Amino acid sequence: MVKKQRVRKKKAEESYCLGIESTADDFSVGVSTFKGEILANIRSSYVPAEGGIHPREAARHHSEQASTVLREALGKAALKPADLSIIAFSQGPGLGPCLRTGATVARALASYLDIPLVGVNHCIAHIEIGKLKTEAIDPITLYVSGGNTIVAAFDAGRYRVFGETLDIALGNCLDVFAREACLRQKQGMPLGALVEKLAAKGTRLLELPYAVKGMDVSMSGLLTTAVTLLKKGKCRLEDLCYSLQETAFSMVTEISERGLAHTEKKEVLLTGGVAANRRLQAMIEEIAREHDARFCVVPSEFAVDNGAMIAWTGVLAYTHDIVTPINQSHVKLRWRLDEVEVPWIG
Amino acid sequence: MKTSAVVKLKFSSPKITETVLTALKPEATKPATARSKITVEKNGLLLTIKVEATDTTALRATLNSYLRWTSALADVLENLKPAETQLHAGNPA
Repeated sequence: MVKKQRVRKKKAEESYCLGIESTADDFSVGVSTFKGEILANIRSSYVPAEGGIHPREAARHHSEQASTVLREALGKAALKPADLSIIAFSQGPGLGPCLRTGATVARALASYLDIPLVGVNHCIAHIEIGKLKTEAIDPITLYVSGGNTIVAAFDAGRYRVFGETLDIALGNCLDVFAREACLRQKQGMPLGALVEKLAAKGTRLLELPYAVKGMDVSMSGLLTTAVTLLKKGKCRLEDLCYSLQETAFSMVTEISERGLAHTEKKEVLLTGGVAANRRLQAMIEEIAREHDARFCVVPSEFAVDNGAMIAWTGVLAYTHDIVTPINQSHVKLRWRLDEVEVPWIG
Repeated sequence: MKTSAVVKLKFSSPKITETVLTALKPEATKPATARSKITVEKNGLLLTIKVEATDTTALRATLNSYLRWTSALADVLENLKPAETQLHAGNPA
């Protein structure tokens, strides 16, 4: 993001930001007012016939759906393209072909409508939409999704990473296990939700590798062991799902609690796609209670990747003098959230 | 560079051609792979995409990406005007 040189502000009541999210398997367009009212949040998901996300195929899906999703979002918001004040897009981190598809659409809209473009960090957008929707002010955040597992909190101008995964993300761990167990993803029903459903019927806690290293976690050994047990066929799938969830969630809860104790924040925010899991919510709520902190969880609609979070974070950035010139709007595949200055806090 | 291709695409207005060029240029100036070199230019309604690649696999992949993006942008941009008209009717504000 670059400091803006020329600001074309419209009246506050007329200002709208359209946000485009395309970091992975979802293409989503959201519309937010400058006051934080979400007017639209339309999403189209790429569901692979088998296996995980194929970046090229996901990008193909995004290209094919872009126009439809955009039209639907504008219709839902009851806005004309000319009503838009700024265009925001997820600039990273994410899958290259998917990010580039969203970026080209965002650049085209900003150029055609002659309005500013704002590149948004996807991870920060997950935190900001969580704060907006739960009215959290200064939380320590556990952000868990298919691509990220991060404990972060704001300090001295930026969000700081207090702990993270050293290998695969929590959501990815659950998704891969689900695919190995031949569970099938359905539109609107992610694999993690299927694991959660089965886990609720589990009764036996199996011993799985618990890998917390300092403030970081490692999920790959846990996944390998769970899949090995699954293939041996001697454990009930329900018990495996239950044990996998309990072990993985305990790991992220432990580092979240340590982060909470260290930062002494008064709010704990759970965000990202895995935040929809009720068992994880219960665990994080428990540590929040023990530390006299308020537990905040992002609503399900905004837990998954969505355009609304990009739109809202675009508003925050733009109203604090950040725009992204089109010729500098290259995507950033490995853009860490602690690289981004956050002038809208403090 | 061992192989190359030139694609010329005609759009319905110079503004749309200009917009597509603006949207694609950052990708051309910083390509995802060093195996391809891309030039995007416009002349009136015509957008010219030139790709030079080290091998046909890279050439095909790059062309596919640019054609996919161009197709998506054409859809989005061609839809902007009807959407404007349609929403004007339903939302007089």
